[in-house]
Amino acid sequence: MAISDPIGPVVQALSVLVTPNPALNKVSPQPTSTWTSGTNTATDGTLFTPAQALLGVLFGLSSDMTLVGNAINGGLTEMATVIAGIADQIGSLTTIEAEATSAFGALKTVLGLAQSIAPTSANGVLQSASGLFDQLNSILTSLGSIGVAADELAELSQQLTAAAPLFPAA
Amino acid sequence: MADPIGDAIQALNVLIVPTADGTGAPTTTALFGNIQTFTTAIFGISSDMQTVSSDIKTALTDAATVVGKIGTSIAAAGSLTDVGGAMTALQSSLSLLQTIAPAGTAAVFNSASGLFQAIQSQLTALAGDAGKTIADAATELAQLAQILTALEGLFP
Repeated sequence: MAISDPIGPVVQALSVLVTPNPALNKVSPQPTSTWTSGTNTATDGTLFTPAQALLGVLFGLSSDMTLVGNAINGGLTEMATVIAGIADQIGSLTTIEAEATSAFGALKTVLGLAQSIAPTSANGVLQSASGLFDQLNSILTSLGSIGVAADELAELSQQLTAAAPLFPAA
Repeated sequence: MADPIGDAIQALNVLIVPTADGTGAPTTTALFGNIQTFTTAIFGISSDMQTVSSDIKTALTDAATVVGKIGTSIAAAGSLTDVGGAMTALQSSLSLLQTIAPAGTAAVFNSASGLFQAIQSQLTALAGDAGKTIADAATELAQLAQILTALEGLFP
């Protein structure tokens, strides 16, 4: 069964709040730095201002709520940094796209096999590692292009950066 | 039934090529260097990712040790059928013990039983349609251990 694009729908759903700037060109993918370098910022969507006003009131109700808002702001900022890093690194594989896809598939297979033979203590970790390469392989297979996969992650990082101010910063 | 270990080793040749007898150091390809650069960067993004990478490295070491020791041990056994039979007997006995043992011990028996079952399954595959000998099985396990050790290089 073909795997659908797991990142695109998330980017699309977030666009009502923050829209990637510029839009991704799937035919000729741009460098990931277009979205991750900080040169361009996401455009506020139609719901951004009303949502910001609502959340501002909500997270200002008590000191506990403010702390929750601070934590969400920090979490979004941190996630945006991590995703931007992953996007940039995946983007660096575009010149060896076919080989990298094949390597991720082989790594998934070998780590899965090791997991079936390894002691139980190592099972969970090897499963995680196998799952990571499986996910990378699935994303690349479903999107058909490392450039598009990297760019969609870059768009997402830009959106998360722009969405963080919806919550009060510490 | 195909040879799952041989197939996995073959698939990973794009990154690592084991030696013929599974001893010494395997050869890594240029693509291994590219993927290593990628994984080093990915697992260096945050301290949490570094911890994950370190755990994977440890797990690979454990797995390589177990696989290597199994390979060495079965090389001295009579035939794949004998080893497979022994594994089945061990797995059955441990499963039985698991049902009557105290809860704390049952988990250990479950782990050991699962291990023997997995090994038996792999050996059955080798002895079946793949038509391999016990020497082939020992070599493939040694090569797999060699590959798992080399894979540690992908995780900083």
